[in-house]
Amino acid sequence: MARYNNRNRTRNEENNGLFRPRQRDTRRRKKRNPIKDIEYIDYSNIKLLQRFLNDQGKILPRRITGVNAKQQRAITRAVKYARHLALLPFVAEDMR
Amino acid sequence: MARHYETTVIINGMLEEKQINDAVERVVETITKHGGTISETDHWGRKRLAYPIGKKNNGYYVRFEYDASGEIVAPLARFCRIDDDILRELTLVLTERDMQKREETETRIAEAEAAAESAEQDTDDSGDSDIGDQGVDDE
Repeated sequence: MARYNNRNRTRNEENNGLFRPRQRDTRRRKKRNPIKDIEYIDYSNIKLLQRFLNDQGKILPRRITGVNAKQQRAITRAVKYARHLALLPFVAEDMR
Repeated sequence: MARHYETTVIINGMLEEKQINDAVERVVETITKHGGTISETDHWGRKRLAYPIGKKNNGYYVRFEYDASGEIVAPLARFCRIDDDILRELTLVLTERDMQKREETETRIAEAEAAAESAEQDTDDSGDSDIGDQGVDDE
């Protein structure tokens, strides 16, 4: 065990400055804001709102949609108004 | 203080055309009775509801925009609840900024749709392809 560790260490030392951390796979792609141009999120624009729901009709998190916080709040509000007016379902098996 | 309001109502979609118009008229009356001046009426028409309301699957949507004082909101909501032909109601305040933004957004959406239609056959990634991608591929 100790020998193995030693070997590892020498290997690293050999690599020295040439050692490069793996990053190609772990680096994440920067999300693009999909609705940058839209300033007013209208509750009657179902086509737009549906892009931010999963097929059960749940609101997708920002982590996935990539919109900014302000827009996410506006979307959430709009979805809730749309649900009140039965434009969107509260629960759905398959929305699409 | 006078504000700009937007109210959308769902009227029972099973009714005859005439009955729907009567119901719309009743809403208009209620708004004017409480000191509102309607600036815009928008008929979305019959739509299938996303879920049944009071055993109905269809609704006739009408949106009103009007100026009124805040005292109108509660009586209007109450009226809609009592009226049997009105299934749902939603009243929102529209600030000047909201209206401005909405207009801008609407024109932009229209522009984008026109552009999308003309470029229907093109691939999705046209316009802003990633230069970084090509660099990785060369490795």
